[in-house]
Amino acid sequence: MIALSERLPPRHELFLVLAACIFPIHFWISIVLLYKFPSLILKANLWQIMGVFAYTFAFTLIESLLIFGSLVMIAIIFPTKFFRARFVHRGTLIAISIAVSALIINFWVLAENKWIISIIAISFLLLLIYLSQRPKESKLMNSFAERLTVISIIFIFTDMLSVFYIILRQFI
Amino acid sequence: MKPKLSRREFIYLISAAALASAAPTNILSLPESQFESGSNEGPNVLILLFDTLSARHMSLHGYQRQTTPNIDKFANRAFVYHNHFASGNFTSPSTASTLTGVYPWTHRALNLSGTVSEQFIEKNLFSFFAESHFTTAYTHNPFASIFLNQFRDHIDELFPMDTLGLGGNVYAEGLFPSDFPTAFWSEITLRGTDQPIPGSLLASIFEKLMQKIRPVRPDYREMYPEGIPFTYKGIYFVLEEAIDWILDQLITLPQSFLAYYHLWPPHLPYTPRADFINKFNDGKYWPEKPLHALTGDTSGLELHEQRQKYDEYIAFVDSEIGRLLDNMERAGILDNTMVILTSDHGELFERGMLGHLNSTLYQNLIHIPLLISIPNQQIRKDIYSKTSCIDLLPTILQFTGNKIPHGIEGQVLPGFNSNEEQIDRSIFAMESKLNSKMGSLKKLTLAMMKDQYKLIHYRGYGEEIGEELYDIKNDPEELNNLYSTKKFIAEDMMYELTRKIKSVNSQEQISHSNS
Repeated sequence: MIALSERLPPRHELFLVLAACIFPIHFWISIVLLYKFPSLILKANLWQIMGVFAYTFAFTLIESLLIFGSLVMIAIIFPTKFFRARFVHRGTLIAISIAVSALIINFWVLAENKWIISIIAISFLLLLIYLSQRPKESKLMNSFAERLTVISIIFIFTDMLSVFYIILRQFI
Repeated sequence: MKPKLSRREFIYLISAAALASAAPTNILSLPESQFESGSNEGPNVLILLFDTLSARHMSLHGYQRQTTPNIDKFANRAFVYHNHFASGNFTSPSTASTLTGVYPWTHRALNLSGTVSEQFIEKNLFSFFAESHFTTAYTHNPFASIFLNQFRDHIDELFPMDTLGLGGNVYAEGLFPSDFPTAFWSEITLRGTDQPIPGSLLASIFEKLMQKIRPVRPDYREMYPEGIPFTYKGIYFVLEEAIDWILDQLITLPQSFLAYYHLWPPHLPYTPRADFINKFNDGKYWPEKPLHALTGDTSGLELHEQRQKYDEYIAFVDSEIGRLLDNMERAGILDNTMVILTSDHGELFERGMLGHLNSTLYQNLIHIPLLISIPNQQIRKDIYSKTSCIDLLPTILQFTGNKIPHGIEGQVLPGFNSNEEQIDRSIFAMESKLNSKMGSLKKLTLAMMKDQYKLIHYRGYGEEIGEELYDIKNDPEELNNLYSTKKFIAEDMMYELTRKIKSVNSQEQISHSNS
């Protein structure tokens, strides 16, 4: 157990990466919920709308935790030099990349002009390579992750309320 | 020594035999209930609802293609309603009407994936039969599933949607059955079922991958070269399995039962089995109709091709219905079962529109089939009076000897009620998915059928979309708008229709409906 805790990244780094995992996925679901809101208010009452928000946020929390858990596992399993040494930099980069890639794939499936999505995907890939290859950018990624924490704390709080509200809904 | 019959006994026997031979005719001439109220020995009731089956595409109702030979055969022992109408042009309003016996403005399932008002959770097909029948239900359709889950306390055996699925699932149904509508709305938000991009970025990709790699029986791929049928981005299924499952259910269900099976075909995607593909490659064309501002701009050629596929799919569905009915007959189920064959709405292949999710109410969208066969019925009875899907519930209640509760807007169908006054009543169908469940109806299309005429009124769409009046008896294709030529009739019907809208929009009515 001692060995395992030693292999874990420091707590403040874990929190920064967690924030980076939570932010993009929650930000996206917030946009989708805003998009869906007009159709929801036609058929649902306030408690049901709150329910829809709660279920979707709770699910998004699970998705975020799955990504975060995977990153922590990588940090534990792989050699320190490979990942754990620059956990915030690489973790944040991977978390953001996963979310953006998923978004690109989803748009790709739908898009009629796939070349526009292709250009966006290639640009994103180039940016990713640039950011991952230059150690100087570590600082940039760290400060980006720190800024995300404020919003992510709000999201985590919302997720907690959501889970509580879902449990409550099963009994009322 | 055998006892000899006396002359009196012989006369009794002859009279009894004569009565027995006349029994089927007597059943038809005795439309009122044959069963005592509150009795536990009523007939079984089987409702087979095939989604999106337009009566206008059935050879039973004079369609040019032989799409429904098996249903035509079944009609020889059934009441056939030739002018039966859905109360809406998509699943939610019309299915809710069938299950509650009231129009959408009363049950308030107006929107896509809408729910019925609280009061109908205790006042529906299943609650009315909870005491006298074993009730069971299944649907492929997620929108219909919302209602079944709302009524689940009164359904003895409710099967989840994935019961007949080859893969895919509606997870909310299994995980949060007691909170189904809300959990389902969340699920479709996460899966992106009714919006361009899914709310869940990762799970949606995982789901797409799973669909690609999911093993499907190789013979199914051969049977369905145009793709395995699926429901609303959710569940893959094969109709043959569904029909076999229904037959198994019917054989094993406790007596007396009320079974409601709402199957997806012939809803989009039109994927007929291989032996039905190109069955109707006959070069037939239907009259070109002017584009409507509320439909779309699908080309005539595309509409023609899709119509052919839809017809082929109907022919396939019909063959499976025939198989089910033949097996039911062999198993003796028809001897003690009231069998109802119907749909929730139709499909449109005209005026630039493909499908049914639009704001019009043309005949192809709302004219649906209704066939009712009562136990041991041997003759056909054709009924041409205009009827509505809201009439089904009171008819079943009356036939099974149950009381028709107060508040039901439907009437007992002709053929089951000696009171023929209902024949001249107005029948309504509406499309109002852009209105609030809790508020007044501001933007809607309302069709009113009276005598041989049909008035279509567009409210809240602006002046450029004018009213339409058709003589649906002499012009069933709705080619000639008579609104400006038959002014007297148009004004008379418009007066009645406007009064109806005013009455359903009154505050008392809205609060009563939402109570």
